Amino acid sequence: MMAKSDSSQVRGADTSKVPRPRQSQPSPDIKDQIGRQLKAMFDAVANEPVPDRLTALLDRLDQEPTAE
Amino acid sequence: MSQSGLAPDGQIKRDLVAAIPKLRAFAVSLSGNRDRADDLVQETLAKALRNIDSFTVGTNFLAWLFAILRNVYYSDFRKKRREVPDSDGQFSATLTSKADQDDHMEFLDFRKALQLLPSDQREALILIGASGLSYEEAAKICECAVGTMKSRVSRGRTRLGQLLGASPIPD
Repeated sequence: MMAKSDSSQVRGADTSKVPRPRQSQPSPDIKDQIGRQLKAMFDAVANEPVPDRLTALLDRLDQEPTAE
Repeated sequence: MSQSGLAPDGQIKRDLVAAIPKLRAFAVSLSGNRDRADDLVQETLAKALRNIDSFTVGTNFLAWLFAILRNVYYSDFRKKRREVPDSDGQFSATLTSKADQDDHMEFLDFRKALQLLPSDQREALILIGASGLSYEEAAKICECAVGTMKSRVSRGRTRLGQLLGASPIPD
């Protein structure tokens, strides 16, 4: 990976093979934090009471013949 | 309760009802708009019932529903996407009111950062990081290879890490 820029030029700068500028991987702390936040965001909505209109819809659809 | 004896309708309905909270969470994540999210879920439920025969028994029902929801979103809702959700306004306010007090600032920053990601990476992070689906299931939902899903998650994490790292958040 080191000194890649030199060698890749020699080989005609096939940029598709050259690793993109190394983006520093997130530290384990940041990774944890991302995971925690994603879950918090998702669960915040998932833990809300289901709006009546959605359960009512299922009740209504249930009365109708499902075969179409 | 189930009048039709062996008819699976009662069970299907129970499974659908049980899936609604996660469907809503996914819909909000995708659309960034709570009202639209419920429309999305409504359409998904109706479509799922109409196409229940195409569900393969033994596979993950939630993943099947997520795929429907995602298709509904990208076919019917993308047109309206120009109306960018107000990420600082009503939507975030409702969300953060649900979040822990301690996480308040942190949470807003995170939401903003997430919105800055390309949608495929955002979606991948939500499916893998939050919804509890496997890479295989998420890849199927997004109609991509498992490796692609992994790479989206990885790139999304890296980008988020950069965005969040710019303003370190004490733990």
